[in-house]
Amino acid sequence: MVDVQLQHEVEQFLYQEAEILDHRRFQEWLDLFTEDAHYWMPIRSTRARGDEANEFTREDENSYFDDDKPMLARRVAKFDTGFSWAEDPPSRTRHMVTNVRIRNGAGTNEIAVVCNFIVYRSRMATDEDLWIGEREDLLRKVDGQWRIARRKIFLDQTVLRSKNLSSFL
Amino acid sequence: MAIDMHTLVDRARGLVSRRIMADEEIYRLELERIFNRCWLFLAHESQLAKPGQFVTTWMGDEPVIVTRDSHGQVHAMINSCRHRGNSVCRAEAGRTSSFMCTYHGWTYGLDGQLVGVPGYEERYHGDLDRRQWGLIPVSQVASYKGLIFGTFDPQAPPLEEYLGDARWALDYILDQRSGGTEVVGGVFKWLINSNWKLSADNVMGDNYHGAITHRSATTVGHQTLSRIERRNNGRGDDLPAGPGVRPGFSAPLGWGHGFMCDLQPPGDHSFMEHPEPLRSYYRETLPELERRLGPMRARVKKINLTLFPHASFTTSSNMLHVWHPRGPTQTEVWLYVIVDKDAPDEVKQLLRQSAQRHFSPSGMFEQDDMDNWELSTQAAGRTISRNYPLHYGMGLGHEGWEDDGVVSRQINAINDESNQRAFYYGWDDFISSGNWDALRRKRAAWESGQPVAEGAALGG
Ligand code: FES
Ligand SMILES: [Fe+2]
Repeated sequence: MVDVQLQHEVEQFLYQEAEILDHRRFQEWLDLFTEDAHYWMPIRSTRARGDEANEFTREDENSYFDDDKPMLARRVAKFDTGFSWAEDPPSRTRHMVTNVRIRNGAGTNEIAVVCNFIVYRSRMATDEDLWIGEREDLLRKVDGQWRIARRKIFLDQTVLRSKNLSSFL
Repeated sequence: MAIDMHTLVDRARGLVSRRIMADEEIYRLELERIFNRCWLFLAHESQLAKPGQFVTTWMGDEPVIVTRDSHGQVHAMINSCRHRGNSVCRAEAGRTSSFMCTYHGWTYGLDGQLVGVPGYEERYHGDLDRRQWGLIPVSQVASYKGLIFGTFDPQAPPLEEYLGDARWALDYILDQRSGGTEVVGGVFKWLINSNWKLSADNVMGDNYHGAITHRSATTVGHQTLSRIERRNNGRGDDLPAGPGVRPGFSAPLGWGHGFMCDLQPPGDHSFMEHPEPLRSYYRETLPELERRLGPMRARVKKINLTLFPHASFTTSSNMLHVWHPRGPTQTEVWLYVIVDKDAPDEVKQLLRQSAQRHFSPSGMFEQDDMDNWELSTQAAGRTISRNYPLHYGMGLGHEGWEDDGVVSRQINAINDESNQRAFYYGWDDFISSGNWDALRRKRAAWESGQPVAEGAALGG
């Protein structure tokens, strides 16, 4: 069984991250990533049973996000240019993180953590988006703090029912 | 309410009725006269590399399956069982030997022929001509340098004639190297609540919006990777035109096609100052490009092309957007990344990454286009606003027409809305023409510089 203390720590870390995102403290959010971080979200497609291996694009194929930390930083810098129209007025997001499972590595300084997420976005008067899926994080302890070294985001939608992805998941 | 189609595009003043961006009746007409007649992009051949591979797509409001059969032949047919109409394929892509309908089990081959009918003897008594009950075929299917197109119109001219002078730009995209192109795995697909035409006209001609719409991306130094110069502190892309700043030309073609092309002065190869390994790749392949396509296209920095009606190519990051209409006020955007088949993997990776960061739904540029189009579409449906036309008149009457043999007729700058006007003239020609002879006459007239005066004045 996973150590209760570790489980608690990891959950609190993910809840903190959700709060930081929902409160648009994006510089702080960047600090949660290691310098070598990779943020990746493949494309999903509807496939017949038996063809599940091709449901998600591979790492060398197209993806919604395939970002290193400098690229994430550029996305964040974009918000503050004064011309970032997709986020001006800004999205109102609510990140729900649930079903947190620690996969391995308890006791080392790296652990794989899987969770489910629901992200709701409300924007302007009536725009609404709902992004639901599973996240697979590799967390690393750096100077006594958990940091995100890898994030893989698996959305449940195939055709994205959103005009854009100007929010982070 | 009956709509007079001749009041929708005002050629004398470069005005376009807002109604065509939201009206249900006009949308039905577009499906019949444009999407059911024009050659439409279906797939890239590399998506169907192996026998039995298939993809599903849209042609207007019809869902279509595109297959490669065991003889290597490509087929396209409507994804609807001839018995009761159920879909026979529910996947976006895959590999199969046949399509069995899940309702009663009628089964179709990769060529669309009806090959299996449960109870054919006992229930139908053999009294069903299976040859007559195959899937509804797309009337013509043809390839152009790796791109597969189809049309529902048996009368449509051959694909090459349909593409016409747009091939100058298409060849630049598809034919730089002898090995041809392929698409990167995975097609971006997303829904936007806007009219399909606003996107199609934007890519082919709107170099006006970049300085405002995309200012945040350029401000933080985001840039694309293709053959674009890196002057202006890396802000070379999408800046307003000025004399000597952007040598290039616009090609507002007939039948609604059009492209704009940025050129480098002869002998100036600063457009290859890209990150490695892209720079080396472009340097090494330039002689091959020049050999295949000639000196002019060796100077191309960037081409933006829309093939009427809804396939838009942007050579910065090697992208193809297809704007599938899903109603008058909704568009399903499909984005493909096209790369030279023989390019090294690291080059393909760079281009793929650049496309994702630039023009996918999360793209630093693409994000900011969508509100503009959605809010413009909403206004087009409103009772008062819809009576006020849209202004597509920039530079009308001030075009620097020239003829240097690249295409039939071109404009020696990229600083007006000629391409967008050509798009709506083409739109108007398809909507108002009953047959291809009339369409051919109108195209010839436009491309020779003597357009037939069509379309009455709009609003007051
Ligand atoms: S609807 Fe397809 S077999 Fe009956
Ligand atoms: Fe744009």
